[in-house]
Parts: sequence; structure tokens; C-alpha cells
Amino acid sequence: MAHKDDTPVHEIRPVTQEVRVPERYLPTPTIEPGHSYASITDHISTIVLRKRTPIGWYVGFGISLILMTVLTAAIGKLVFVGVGIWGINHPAGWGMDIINFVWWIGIGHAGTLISAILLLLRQEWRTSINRFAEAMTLFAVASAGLYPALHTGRPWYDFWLFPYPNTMTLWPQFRSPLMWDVFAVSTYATVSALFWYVGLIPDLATLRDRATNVIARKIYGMGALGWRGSAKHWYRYETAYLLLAGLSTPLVLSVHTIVSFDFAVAQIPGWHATFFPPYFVAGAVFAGFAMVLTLAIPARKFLKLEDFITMKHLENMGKVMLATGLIVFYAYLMELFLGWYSGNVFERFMVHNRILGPYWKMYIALIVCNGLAPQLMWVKRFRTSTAMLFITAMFVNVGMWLERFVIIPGSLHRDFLPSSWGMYHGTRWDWSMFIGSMGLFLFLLFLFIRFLPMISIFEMRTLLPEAHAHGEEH
Amino acid sequence: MTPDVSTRATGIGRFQMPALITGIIFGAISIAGFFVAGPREFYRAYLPSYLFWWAIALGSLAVLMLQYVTGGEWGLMIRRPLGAASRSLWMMGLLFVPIILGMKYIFPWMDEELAQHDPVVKLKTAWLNPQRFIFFAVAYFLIWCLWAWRLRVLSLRFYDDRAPETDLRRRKWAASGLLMIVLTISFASIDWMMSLEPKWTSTMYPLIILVGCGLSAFVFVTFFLSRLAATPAMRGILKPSHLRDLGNLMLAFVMLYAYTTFSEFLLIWYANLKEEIPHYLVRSHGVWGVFASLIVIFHFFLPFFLLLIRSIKDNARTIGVVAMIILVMRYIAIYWLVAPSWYGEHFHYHWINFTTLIAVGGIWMFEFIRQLKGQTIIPIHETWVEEAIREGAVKINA
Repeated sequence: MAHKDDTPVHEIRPVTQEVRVPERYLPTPTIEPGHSYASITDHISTIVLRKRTPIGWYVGFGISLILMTVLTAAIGKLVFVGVGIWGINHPAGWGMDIINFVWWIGIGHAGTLISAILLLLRQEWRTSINRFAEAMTLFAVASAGLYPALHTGRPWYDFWLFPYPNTMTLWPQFRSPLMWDVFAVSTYATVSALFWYVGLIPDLATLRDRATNVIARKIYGMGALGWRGSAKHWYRYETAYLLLAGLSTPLVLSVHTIVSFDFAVAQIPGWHATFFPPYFVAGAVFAGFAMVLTLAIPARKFLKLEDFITMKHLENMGKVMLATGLIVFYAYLMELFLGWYSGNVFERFMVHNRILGPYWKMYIALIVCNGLAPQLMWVKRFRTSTAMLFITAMFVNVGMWLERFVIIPGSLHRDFLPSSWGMYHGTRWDWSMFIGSMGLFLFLLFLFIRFLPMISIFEMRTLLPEAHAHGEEH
Repeated sequence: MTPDVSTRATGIGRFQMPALITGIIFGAISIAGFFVAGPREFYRAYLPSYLFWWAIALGSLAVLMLQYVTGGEWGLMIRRPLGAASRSLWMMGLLFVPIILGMKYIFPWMDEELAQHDPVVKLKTAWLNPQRFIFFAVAYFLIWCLWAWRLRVLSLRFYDDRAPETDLRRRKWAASGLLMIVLTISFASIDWMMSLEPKWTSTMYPLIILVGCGLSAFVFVTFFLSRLAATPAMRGILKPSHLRDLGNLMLAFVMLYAYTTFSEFLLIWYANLKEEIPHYLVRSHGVWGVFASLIVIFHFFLPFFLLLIRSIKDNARTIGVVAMIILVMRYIAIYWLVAPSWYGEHFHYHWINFTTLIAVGGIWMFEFIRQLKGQTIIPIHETWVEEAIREGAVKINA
């Protein structure tokens, strides 16, 4: 291989030179030019404070209410009859309840990743999407939490899951990862909610100061906890926010790691794979970014937020989706290869059954959705097209649901003993619950968009050039 | 005044010949060991020694590509040593030859009896056979050298033209290279390490080796950089923030390694399957058990806590010590993964293990320094370009 000669190189180039860079190599901005502190505040707070609610909001909110009714009916039926209304039975004791739990909890991970990890990595582009993604995390966790709580069969006894002194000498089984889930998920929900709320405080104060309606002013005022924006407030705020970011970071890993343990500690081929923890975490981030894109693309259009959620954000999310999608695809391929390589007849059968068993269509669809569709994101033209991003994200949303289907009933339905094989199908109550939980998610999301600023106002201000006038970073 | 940033100013060149001579002397001693202790002892000692250095060289290629894809100032400081280490991979290819020669002493599946009659192993002969093994090994090295070479060519071109197109092409090679390296390390780790226990499989194993390679590369270059900190070449250039960034990345890899290894252990321990658990039973017995504890303490807890402290990360001397601790533990961790496959619960360490480690290291170090020489120790022109853009000396599309 060639070497330059041994002399040190300090070339003196002309002091000023002009370089022609083709348009497509130029960096895209995180905020469109032409904005000022006032225009940012105006634009975002008006969405919340305007008097007339747009008709589109009522339509969306109405749909979510209808779906919520479905959820209420499904839960009502379940409470009166029991989990027998679901499709779970031997040999597949876990079905759509757990699929949907994992699907929802995975979606939440993008919020934590964007708000905590990207903050610590000083990635500026997180700023306009973090609030929204964090809210999505909370609502996804709420939807996810329904499933295991109801799957216990008698949800009114769910408090038994917590270790508290009682006269029944009842104590949770701490050796079960399902118990670890209880703590992982409840910690995750608590820390995410705190993180989200702390981030909201300065903006709540802005809304308090700008609201003309007395009641709104009182409510936002209570939420703002007496925020005055003094230097001391900011100092405390920054410290608390950074600490919460540090606290949230391990949660991105821990929650889905423990969810993966639910399966991987078992001995069932297709569940007992040691690489499940990182594979599940990557899948969660993958699913989460797909959901952020699914929601951000329409929201950006309807609420005219193109100046704040720029192509740079969408493109970066496309890139993250590609990277995590590749990890997930790697896991699919390795699962097949090492299943075969193991030389274990049951593992080999699992591989065979994945591809050629009764659920082969699900498997092929999974590979198309999660393995092939994200490959479109290699192409810059697709990464910068909202339509293509949206379509890819939809593929991934479906694909990640299929992945859990393939893993859960796909492994359970045919285990070691052919005489105990069976099939799993979700019943209409399974589907009602699933559709209903989407209703809950959308219901909370529509409320959020209407009553709270979906983009952080004060953080957006820091993106303006004048915020860096003195060369200091926020 | 601009500092002299040539590699000559680092004084690294004066180690080149001593490294080679040490390598040759210890190589000769190892070959003597071949005749004294027998080929079985020699080849089994050679593999872990080789893997230790291989992980550094290959990990360097991976980290280099990661750096090209993600950017970041931390990478500019270590780009030269990473590039040199990745271009030394051809030498690692040559040094792989003894492993091919000693296959029948190293890999249990080379035993005809086992391959044909063991109910598990005989199902795997389509993969575990010498022809495929050699073919794949050659292919891995060719592929690794191809990427190391392309990145070099594009970097030299960028040096000349400084065109964004060249930079973009280099990034594309790096991005596809990351994909390539994940796949090749996975299969290489299955071939060269996991197949030492032909009846044992773990899907996490390739990831552990992958993360281990990255960690080896990070600790090696950080150690290297910490040694250069006081030389005239780095004075005024290497800032505490650079070392802190590297310390943080090292910390991330230390945690990632602990995460992957602990997850594997927990899941295998929990399921307690007869085809999986022996892997950990032998490795937790006797001296191997002591090794396992050392790994827990010195490969994770100690560096983890030390790397949380900012004053340790900012100081070249202290971070050098931390890097050294991890580097030593890398060898122990690799030996602990590899050697019990042959010796079971009985601890075994032969003096040839040590001499081969120094021999491979000396020869590799010679090539590494050879590749490093004759250029600036940091890619000064790339820092220059970025700085010039920042300060407005270069106007883009003005």
C-alpha cells in the first residue's frame, strides 16, 4: 500500500477559497431559516391556545373514542367471563395478549432513546421530536400495561404482584422474569412520565403567560410549578433534566432485555436463544422509530410544522430505522443459521417450521416487512420522501407485530412432543382488545396534541443562530 | 507555530525493529517448543495468542469504519493508528497459516471418529469440514483486506482532491463495510472459536466476539494515544476532551461486553440444558472459576467505576493505566473462552502460550508501525478542512 513521503504535511492553502458543493451534499437544517424566538413561540403555542378546535381534530378524536368503546366492551366481557374468551389454550398459552404487550412496549422505546440517549450524545436533531416521542412512549406503555394486567385472569388481584407484607404469607416469585417485568415496566413508566413532565415545565409557564382564558391560565399555572425562568430555575432545571436523562438511558436497554428474558429463559426452541436481549432491544428501537414516523409525518402536515420537523429529522429517523432494521434482520438470519448449525433436532425443526410450517405466510410477510422493506432507506431519495418513509414505517409497524407472532405462538404451537401440537388463532375478543388499545393510544395522543405543546418551545429557540451568538452551547 | 505532527516526531519508529526482533526471537522459542512439547501443545497455545492480536487488528477496521460513518472529533485523533492496524490485517492473514496447519490438533471436529459417529457432530459436517473452513478463512481475509485497502485509497484521494464526493464514497464503503464486518466476524467467531466445542451453540457468542473486537481496538488505540501524549507530535493537539470521548466510548464497550456476556450466562444458567450448561460448568471450575471472577472484577467493575470518573478519563497517564488493565483482561477473557474447550475443568497454561503471544505481538507490532510511519499522526488535512469551514476560510457555495 502506498505511502506519502516521510515529511510532515502542513500545507498552506489560500486563506479563503470557494468550494462548489453539489446541492445534495449540503446539510439540511434542523429548523427552517427565517424564524425568530417570537415566531417559534407563536406557532407552537397557538396550536394549543387557539379558541377554535379544527374539525379534523374532532374527527380523529371521535374515531379514537369509538375504538375506546370497543376496548371497554372487550375488557368488560373479559372481566365477566375470563381469559377463555381469548384464543389462548394448550399448547399456545401465550397469544395476542403477549404479542400486543411486547409490540406496544417496544414502540415506546424510541421516545426514551430520542429524549435521553440522543440528549447525552448531544444530537441537536432530537429537539423537535423529543416531546412528541416521549408522549408516545407514555401512551404506548399505558396500552402495553393493559395486557399483562388483564392476562392474570383476575385483574382485581394484580396488586399481589407487588411485594408487600400481608397476612396470606403471599410473596412474589422473584426468580421469574415476569416479576422482573413488573418492576422494569413500572420503573420505566414512572421515569418516562417524570422526564416528560420536567421537560414540559418551562413550556407550561409559557402557556400560562400567553393564555387569555382564565381557567386555562390557572391550569397551566399549576402545572408550571411557579416557574419564573430565573437563572436559578434554569440551573436547577438543566441539572434535573440531565440526571433524568442519565436515569432513563439504562431503561432503554433494561425493559426490553427483561421482556426478552420472558421468552429466552424457557427451554422452547425459538424462545431459548441467548441473543434475545440485544435483538429485542434493537427491534424495540426499530418499531419505535417506525411509529414516530407514522405519527410525525401526518401531524407535521396537518399542523403545518414542516419548519420545525424538517427533512433532516425524517431522514435521520429513516437512517436509525435502517440501522436497527439491519440488526433485526441479522438476528433472523442468525436464528436460522445457528438453529441449523446447532445440530439439535428440535432446533432444526423450529427452523423448518418457521419457514415451511403452518404459519409460513406470517414468516414470509415478516421477512418482507422487516427485512426487505427497510432496505429502501439506503437510497437518499426514499429517505427524503415523506411518502416512502411513511410506507416503510407502516411495513415496519406490521412487521414488528408479525415478529412477535412468529416468536410467540409460532414457537409454542409445535414444541417437543408432536402429540401435543396445536394451532393458535386470535378470537374476535383478542382483536377487539388490540384495536381497542389503539383507540386508547390515539385518545391520549389527541388530547396531548390539543392541550400541550407537541414540540418543545424553549428547546426550539436554542436551535436559532442567535442562541449561539456568544459561542456557547445550551 | 504549527507543531510537528509527523510520525517521526512521535518516536514510534524506533520500536519497529526491536518489535520484529522480539517477535522473531519468541517465534523461534515457540518453534523450539513445537519440538519439545509437541505440535498439540504448540498449536493449542498459538490459537488464543493469535486471537488476541487479531481482535485488535480487525476491531480497528470496524472502529475505523464506524468513525467514517458517524464522524466526530474523537475519531480524528485515532484514525491513523486505526488505519495502520486495519492495513496490518494481511499480516494477520499470513499468521493464520499455522492455525490451518494445526487444524487437526485444534479443532475436535477434525477427528473422523467424532465427525462420523457423534449424533450431533455428524449432522454438522456440511459446515464443520476442513475444506469449507479454509475456503472461508481465506475469503474473510481477502474481504477484510479489500475494505482496508479501499478506505486507504479513498483517504489518499481525499487528501488530494478534498472533494465531498470522495468523502461520501468513503462513507459508503464504510457503511457497507460495517455490514460486512458484522457478518464476517460472526462466522469467523463460529469457525475459529465456537466450533472448538462442536456440540455447543449460543446465538449470543458471535455478538460477544464482535463487541470484544471493538473493545480490543478501543483500548489498544487509547493506550497507544496515551503513550504519545507527551511526545512533541501531540503536544498542544491532544486535548483532555479527546481522551474523555475515548474513555466514554471505552466505557460504552465495557458495558456492552458485560451486557452480552452476562445475558448469555444468565440465560444458559437459567435454562440449565444439558447441551448448553457444560460450557459454563467447566469455566466456573477451579482456576477457570478464578479467571471468571477476574473477568467480572477487572474486565467490568473496576474499569466501569474508573471510567465514570472524569479526572481519570482526562489524564493521559491514568486512562493509559485503565486501558492497560482492560487489554490484559482481553487476553484473559479470550484464553478463558478458548482453552477450557480442550482441557475441560483442568487448568492449563504452557510457557508456549506466553512465547506465542509475544511472537505474534512482535510481528504484528512491526507491521503496525510500518503502516503508521511516513505520514502525519493525525489526519491534519481533514481537521484543517473542518476547521476552515467552521471559521469561514472555506466558503461553500458562496
